[in-house]
Amino acid sequence: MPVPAWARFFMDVGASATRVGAGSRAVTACVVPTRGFAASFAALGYLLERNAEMEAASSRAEHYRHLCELAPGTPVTVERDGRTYHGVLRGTVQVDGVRRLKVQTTKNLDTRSAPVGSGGGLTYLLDEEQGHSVALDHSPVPVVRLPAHQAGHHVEATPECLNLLYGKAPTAEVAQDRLDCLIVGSVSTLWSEWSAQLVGVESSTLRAVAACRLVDLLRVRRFVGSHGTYRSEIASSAEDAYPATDEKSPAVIYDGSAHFVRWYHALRGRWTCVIIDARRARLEEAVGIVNQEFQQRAGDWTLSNVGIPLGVEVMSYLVPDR
Amino acid sequence: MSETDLAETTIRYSCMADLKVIRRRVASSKVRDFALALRRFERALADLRDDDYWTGCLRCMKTCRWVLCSRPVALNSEAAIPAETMATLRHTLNSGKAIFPRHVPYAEAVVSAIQVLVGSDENPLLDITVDLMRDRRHGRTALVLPSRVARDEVIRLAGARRELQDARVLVPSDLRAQQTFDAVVAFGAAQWYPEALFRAPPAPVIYIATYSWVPGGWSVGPLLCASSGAGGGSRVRRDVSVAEVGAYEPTEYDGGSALDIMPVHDFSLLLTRAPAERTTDSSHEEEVQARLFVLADSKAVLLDEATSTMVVDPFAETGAIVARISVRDVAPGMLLLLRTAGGGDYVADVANRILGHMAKQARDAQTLWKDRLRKEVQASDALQVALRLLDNGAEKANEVNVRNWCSYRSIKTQDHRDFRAIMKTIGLESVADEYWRLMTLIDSAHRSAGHYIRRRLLKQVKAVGPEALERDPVIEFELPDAAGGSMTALRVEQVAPTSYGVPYSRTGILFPSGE
Repeated sequence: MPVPAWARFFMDVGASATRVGAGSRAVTACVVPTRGFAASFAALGYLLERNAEMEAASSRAEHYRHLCELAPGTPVTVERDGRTYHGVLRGTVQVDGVRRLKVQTTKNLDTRSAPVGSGGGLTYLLDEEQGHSVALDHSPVPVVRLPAHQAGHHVEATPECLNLLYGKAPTAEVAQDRLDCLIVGSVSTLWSEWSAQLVGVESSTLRAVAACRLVDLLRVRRFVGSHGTYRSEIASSAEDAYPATDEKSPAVIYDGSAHFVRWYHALRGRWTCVIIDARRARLEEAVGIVNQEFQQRAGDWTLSNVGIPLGVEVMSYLVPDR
Repeated sequence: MSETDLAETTIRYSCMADLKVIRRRVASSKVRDFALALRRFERALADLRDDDYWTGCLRCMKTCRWVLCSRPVALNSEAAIPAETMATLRHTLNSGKAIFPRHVPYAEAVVSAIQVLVGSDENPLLDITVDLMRDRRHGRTALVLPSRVARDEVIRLAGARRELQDARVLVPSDLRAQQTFDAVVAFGAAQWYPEALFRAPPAPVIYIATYSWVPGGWSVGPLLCASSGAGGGSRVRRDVSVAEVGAYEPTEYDGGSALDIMPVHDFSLLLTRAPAERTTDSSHEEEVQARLFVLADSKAVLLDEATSTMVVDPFAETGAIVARISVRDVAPGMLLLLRTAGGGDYVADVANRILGHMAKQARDAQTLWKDRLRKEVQASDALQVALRLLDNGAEKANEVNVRNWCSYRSIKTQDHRDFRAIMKTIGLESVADEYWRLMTLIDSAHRSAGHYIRRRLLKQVKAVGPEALERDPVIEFELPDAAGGSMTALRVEQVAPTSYGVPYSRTGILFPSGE
């Protein structure tokens, strides 16, 4: 069962928000016909995308370090310009203060278009960013590609859901506690959403049909228990006290106008999202605030590749980074 | 249906995506002739519309027009034309002939038209609704009225028609529930309903059953300014507009707005009726920003918007039917819990009972430091006091917080350092710790009182049952153990769009709304 289009929209909004550049602060306001699940799916999209980025960054660093430590002469393959070449490692060299991996190519794997005279004289100097194009060569197997994601898993319980979100073998960095997203709203309302079984969670970064609970995917600190790592936290604004946490979250999502109106001045993230339910109290106040901010915005910010459901209003902008 | 139901949420989005708003017009010469006569009378009166002589008469006529246009009731419905109306109108006209000879003929034309209505049991709006349901074969249907006036009558009338037997009869505040329908029928004009009906439609089809002459010309535009193309990579997917079925009949109402037909609540006038509590407590003279609520049972109340209040909300998204919420969050449809007798803050009274023999000492201490802080502010201003507090070690001193701390309704500061700074500034540094302990006691007692009252109320609410909570405009709750004894839950009908600066003594007291 696919994720409903409206839920995918909020996941895409969240995923898109991970691309807010360093030194920028962005705000996304969504006027919706019902607040139900909107903040939850926006948070999920944000967490999934951010996790994918962290995984990629972490894997890249480890992979590159591993290659650099291999003995000179180790056979490898390297992809360049859409082609795969045989090569051997030739150690590392410092260029402008950056460590680079030396890969000497021997021949093109695709013999039909092998470069003339490719006798191994060409040596690439690859930095960490480019290291992902290098792989150990297990000839005579030409090229081995491991799938980036596992598909078709049927997840019954929490641990499997965690694997879907964080990978089968999460790196040390990914496995650490980290507050990526703070959701400000009613604890009891959000708990009702999060504790229900969802069938068919599927996204660009989570290519699996799953039966799981949002609370397991969002890894909410308040509910995660001592055995697991957290990625998000819920702050109740129903209490008189300021919903502060001991960590700053890069993303702050307000689940409703009242929460936003109450705390927006004090609690912002690099990305701040407000879900404005068209049926609920303080609609005008919340709309007034974001409209005024928009008029004084530091710049425009576009949500890319986001299909807005009919009748939903969305506004995104950059605010000064104070 | 819970708002946390994923499937129901999907249906709500589908309703929005598929929304069709169809205005279905129906002709009725009797209603049209009456409305036109009234329009001509209003124009003839011009500035005299506000003259005391005519205001009562005009109100009767306008109410009749409003009820007939906004409800599917019979033309001779008691809700539209109460029994005493004709006598009142005739009396006004008879005695006005000598004073307003030019205007009385216009009024007589209106009365004649009303007389025609009184002789007719036709119900054009209900008939057209039945036709709509018969033609389209909608399943779950709701009839939405602008307010609860004549709701019971509409329920009875709809129940007598086979096509509408299963239809729910709702008012806009009921639509806060997540429930969705196959079709909704509203009456009169889209402008008479909250925009939320169209921004978060409970059905994919909304019919507006109305008379042929009622002005149209309405659409729901974007709320977010970037949505209108001001830039920023943002957009709205579409506006909500209305498809017309049935002929529009141009009349003297043409070019006007349907809002002219809707009675306007004069909140400013209502505000003048709010009585001040007789008190010698100087704290009650401080001005607060208050929200004005029009309640069921022809009552109204002012509440300090900086405080919270207890409500019963059958559609609470948190699931907490009895809750203490910010006054700013109180919305039409909720039941506002107010003390039946005595006025004032029932939480404070219960808290004093919890404090027992400590109550007097603690309250005296509270009054003393508040008095001294207020004197400091009066002697200079809030900003100067805030600066001195910062010099004395305060963490969060600013003008707004200083004013809050001055209020007799705040108990203590959140941060102990702020409290110590205040004590130092007002010359009570030596007893700062003792006062902090006492204020903490009061604070704790208030929380316990809130929990206690909420528990007692929850028991009562369960006894009342969900249907009564959604239906009844007024519910009495007995709290035998609590100081004050009983509380009344009154349905919030309207909330004034702005807040008013009023003395605190005028808040929390029920007064007649005159409706």
